[in-house]
Amino acid sequence: MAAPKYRSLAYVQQLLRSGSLCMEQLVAHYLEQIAATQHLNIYVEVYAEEALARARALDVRLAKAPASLGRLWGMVTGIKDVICYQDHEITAASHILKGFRPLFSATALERLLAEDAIVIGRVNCDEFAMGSSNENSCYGPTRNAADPERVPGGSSGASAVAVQANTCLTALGSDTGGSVRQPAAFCGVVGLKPSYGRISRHGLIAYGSSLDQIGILSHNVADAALMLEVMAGPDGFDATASSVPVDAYSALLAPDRPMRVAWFREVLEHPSLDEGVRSLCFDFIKRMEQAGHTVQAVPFEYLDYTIPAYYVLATAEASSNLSRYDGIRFGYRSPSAYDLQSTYKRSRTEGFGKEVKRRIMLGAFVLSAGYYDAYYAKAQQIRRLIHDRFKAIFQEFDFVLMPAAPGVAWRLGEKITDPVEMYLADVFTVTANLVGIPAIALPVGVHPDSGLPVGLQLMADAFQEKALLGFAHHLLAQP
Amino acid sequence: MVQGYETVIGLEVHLQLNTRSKAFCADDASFGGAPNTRVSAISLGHPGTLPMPNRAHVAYAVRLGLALGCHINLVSTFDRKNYFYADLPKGYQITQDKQPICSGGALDIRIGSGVRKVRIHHIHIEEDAGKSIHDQLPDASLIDLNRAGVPLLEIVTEPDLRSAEEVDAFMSAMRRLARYLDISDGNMEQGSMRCDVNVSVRRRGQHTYGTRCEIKNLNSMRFARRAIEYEAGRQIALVESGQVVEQNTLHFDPQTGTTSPLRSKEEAHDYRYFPDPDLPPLVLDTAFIESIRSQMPPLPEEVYRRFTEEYGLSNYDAALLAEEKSVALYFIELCQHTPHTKAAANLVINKLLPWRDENQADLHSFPIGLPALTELLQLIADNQISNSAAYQRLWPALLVEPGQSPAALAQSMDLLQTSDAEFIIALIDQVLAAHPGKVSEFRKGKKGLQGFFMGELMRLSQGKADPKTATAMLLQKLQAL
Amino acid sequence: MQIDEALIFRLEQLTRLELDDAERQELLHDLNHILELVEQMNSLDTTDVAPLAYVNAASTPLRNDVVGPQATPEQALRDAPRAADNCFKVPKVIDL
Repeated sequence: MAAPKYRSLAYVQQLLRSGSLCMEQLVAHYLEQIAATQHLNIYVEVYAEEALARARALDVRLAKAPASLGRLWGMVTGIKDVICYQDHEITAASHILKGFRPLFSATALERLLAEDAIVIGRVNCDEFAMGSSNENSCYGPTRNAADPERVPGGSSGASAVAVQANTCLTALGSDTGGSVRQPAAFCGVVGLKPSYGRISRHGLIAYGSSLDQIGILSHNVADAALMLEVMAGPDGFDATASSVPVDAYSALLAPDRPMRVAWFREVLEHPSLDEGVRSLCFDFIKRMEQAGHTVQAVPFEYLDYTIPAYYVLATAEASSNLSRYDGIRFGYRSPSAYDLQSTYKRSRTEGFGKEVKRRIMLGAFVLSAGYYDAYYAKAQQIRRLIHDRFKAIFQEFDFVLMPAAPGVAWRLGEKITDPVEMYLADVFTVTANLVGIPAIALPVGVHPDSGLPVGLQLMADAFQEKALLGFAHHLLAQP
Repeated sequence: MVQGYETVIGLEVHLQLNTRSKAFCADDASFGGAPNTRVSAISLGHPGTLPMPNRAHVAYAVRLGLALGCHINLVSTFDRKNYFYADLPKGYQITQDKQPICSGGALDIRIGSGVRKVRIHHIHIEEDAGKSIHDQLPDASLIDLNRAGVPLLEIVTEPDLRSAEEVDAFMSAMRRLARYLDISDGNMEQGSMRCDVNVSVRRRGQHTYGTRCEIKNLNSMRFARRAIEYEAGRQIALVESGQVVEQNTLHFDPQTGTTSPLRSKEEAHDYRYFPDPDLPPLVLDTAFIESIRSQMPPLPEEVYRRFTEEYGLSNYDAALLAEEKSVALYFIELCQHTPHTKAAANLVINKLLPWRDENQADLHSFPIGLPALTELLQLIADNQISNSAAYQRLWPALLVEPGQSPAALAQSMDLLQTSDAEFIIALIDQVLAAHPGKVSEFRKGKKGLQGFFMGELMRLSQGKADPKTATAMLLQKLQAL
Repeated sequence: MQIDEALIFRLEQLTRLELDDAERQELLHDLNHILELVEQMNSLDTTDVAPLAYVNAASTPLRNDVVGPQATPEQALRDAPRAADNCFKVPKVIDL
C-alpha cells in the first residue's frame, strides 16, 4: 500500500495553517482517491457536493474567524451504513431499508460535525453488521486494498478499507463482536472499540444492544483518540451511555510507570494459531519488555465459554431489534403483500439477506418459551463470570494482549470452515464486547509469508481509554 | 347462577396516565390530535432510536403504589414483550415482567353495606400501542401512532373478586382513586382506563381454582358485566356437563352477548420476554418516595370515612361528596368554618354541584364565597331565617349581589326571624284577641285549632317569627287558657 | 427438546419469515449447533451466579416530563410504503 499523502490530522492541520493546503483541495484529493478505488467497492454513497461545500465554508472561516474552527477542522471521515445522518439515505447494507432517510443524526455524528469534521460518504458493511467479511451486503463485497481478491474483514470492512486506501483520514464503524478490530487487523489500520456506553448509541442501527459500540478506524492512535474524545459522553437519548467523565484522551499521556500486560497461554500457545501471527505477537511482547514493561501469561479458564455466551446473547438481542423492519412504516414492502401477515412475511423474507434471517431465527429460538432459562439466562450467568474474572485480572494488570485475528484476510468467496480457526477468530474479539471493555487493534506489521497486514489487540479495564490510548500511542511510536 | 358455584375473577387494569410527554420519549402524550401529529423517530420505531424513561411516569407509579399500600420496589427492571402488530412500531412493547415497581397492596370496595378488600398482586410500568382504524377504508387499515408510547400503569389484582357487581365497584373505586391522585382521568369510554378480566368458576367450598379464561378489550363496564355473567354461565354449564374448561383468550361480542376465542391455541403468543438491554434497572431512593408520600392528597376512602364518621353524613351524601377530590376538598374546607355539616352537605349537593356540572368550573369560583356560605348556614342554624326564606328569597339575592353579607342582606330584605319573646307574645295576644269564638271552641276541646292560630300568627308576623319558639309559646299560652 | 420441522415452522411464525428448503436444512443444522453450545455452557457450574444484564451496573437516568420536538405527519410518513389520510396504510387486518 502506498503511504498516505495525509497521514494524520495533526499533519493536515499543520498544512492548513501554513496555507500550503486548503480544505477544498483536501476534499478534492479524497474524492479523487475514491474515484480511483471504485473497484474496491468501498462507498455506497459519496457526498461530493456537500463535502466540497462544507470545505469551502471552512476555508472562508479560516480566513475570517480562525479561532472559531472546531477541534476536528481538517478531519475528513467516512461513516458506516449503520450510522444515521439526517436526511441522508441509510440502509444497513440491506434491501429492507432501501430509500430510508432518518429524521435525525446520530449523537456521535452530531458531535463530530459540531467540531467541523466533514463526512465524505457512507461506506459499505455486512448487512445489519452481521458478518466478518463484508460479503453479506446487498451492494456486494468490499475488497481489501492490500489484495483486492481478499476480504477486508467485517462487518466494518469498508470502514477499514476507506482509511487503508486513503479515501479519508478516519472512518466510523461499529463493533458488536469484533467488527471494528478484525477488519482493522486485516487492513493494517488502527481500530478502536471504546468501553460499552462510552459513545452514545442513539442513531446507531442496533444489532446486539448490550454489546454494540461505535468504533473508529484510523491511521494512528492520535486521530482515534481525538475522535473518541469528541464523541464520548452521556446523552439524553441513550440510557446506557455512561456519565463517567470523559478524559482528555487526545493528550496521549505516556505511562508514568512500567505497565503490566497479561496474555493468555490458551490463546498464544494454541497449536492452530497461525505461526506468522504468533511470531509477530511475541515480537510485540519483546518490544514491550524492552520498553520496560512487564508481560506475563495468565490463565483464563472461561475462555471457551465466551463463544456460546456471545452467540446466544447477540442473536437473541438482534432478533428483537430487527422486528421493527416490517414493511409497514418505512423501507421495503413486498409488492405481493395482500394482508397484514403477508406484508410482514414477504417484506421481511424478501428484504433481509440469508445471514440476517438465520440470526433472527436463532435468536427467537434462544428466547422461546421454555428455553429462556437454559439458554439466555445461562449465557448471562457466564457473562457475569467472565466479567468478574476480567475485573480480577485488571486488579493485577493494566492491559491484556491478544491477536485481533487468528490469521490474515482470506480470499473472497472462501469461508473459514475450519472450526478451530472459527473458534479462535471469535475468541479473540467477542470477549471485549461481553465484558464491555475498551480494545484497540494495532497494525504490527505484515505476515512473513503473504505480506498481508497483521493486527494485535490491547484491552484495558472499563473506561480506561486514557491509559490504553496513551500506552498504544507510545508503543507504536517506539522504533 | 347455578347454585353451589362461585365465580372467581381477577383483573388487569390499564391506566393511561396524563403526563405531558410519553413513557420513553418526549412526544406530546395528550389525548387526541390529528393522526400522526404526536410522533417522533423514537415513537415511530425508527432504526437507531432508544428509549429514555419519564420521571413523571415513575412518580405516578409510586403515588398509586403508596395509595394502595403496595411495597415500592426500590429496584425494578424493564423487559421487552415481543410480538407483531401493525400498531406496535418496534415489534415489542417495553414493560416490566420480572421485577415490577410495586408489589402487594389492596383496594377496598363497598358492596351493599359492607366493605371488601381486593388484594393487588402488583403494579407495573409499560407503554401503550398506537391505534388501528379498520372501518375507514374497505380493504385497508390505517395506523395512527399518536398513542404509541403513551405511559401506562398496569394494575393486576389477585383473583379476589366474586361477581360482576364487585368488578364494577372495583373499577369505580380505581377510577376515583386515579382522579384523586391526578394521574389519570380513568375514563373507560375514552380509553384512559381499560380492563382485561380473568374468569374461572369452582364449586363453593373448593379451595383450588378452576381453569381461567381471559376476556380482553372490554371498554365499558356495561359490557364487562355482561361478559362476566355470560362467561361464568358458560363455564358452569361445561363443568356441570362433565366437560373441561379450556384455557383461552376471549373476545366479547356485545351484539350477541357471548364470548368466543380470540386466538386459536396454535396462535398463542410466545412473547419471548427478556430484559431490555437499552434500559438499565430503575433504582429509586427513599428520598424520592418520601417526597411523593409527603405530597399525597387525602384518599377517597379516608374522605368517605371522615364524612360519615366525623361529619355524620348519610352514606349516600358522603359518597356523592367524596366522588371528586376537588368537591371533597372544598367541602372539607367549608366544614372547617361551620359545625353544621349536614346542612352544609345539603347546600353543596343541592345548590353547588348542579352549578358546577353546568359551568364545568371549580367550586371556589362559585359567586357566593365560603365566608358568605358559612354565615348563611349559621343564620339558618340560629333560627334567624327559615330554610325556605333562606333558599327561596335570600339565595337568589345573594347570587345577584355576591359581595354582600347574608345577614345584612337578610336584614335589608326584612327576612330575619326573631325568637324575641315579647314580640311573639304580643302577636299571640293579637291573634287570640281577634278570634274569640275560636278560642272558646279550643277551650271546649277543638285542639286542632292550634294549627289555625299558628297560621294566623305566622301571617301576622310576616314570617319573622321563628316557628319553633312561636309554637312553644303559643302552646304555653293555649294551655294556660 | 425437539429440533424438527415443527420447531422451524413455529420459529418462522414467530419471526414472520419464510425459509426455502435449503435454508430450512441449514437452520436445522444451526439449531443443533446451538444445542451443542448450550451443552458446553451447561458444563460450567453457575449455581448462585447472578445473571449479568448490564455491564456498567448503572441505574437508568430519568427524563423530565416535558414535550420535545416532534415530527410532522409529512416527515413521519415520508418514507412510508403506503399512506392515506396522514396514516400508515396496511392491507386489511382481519383478526381483532
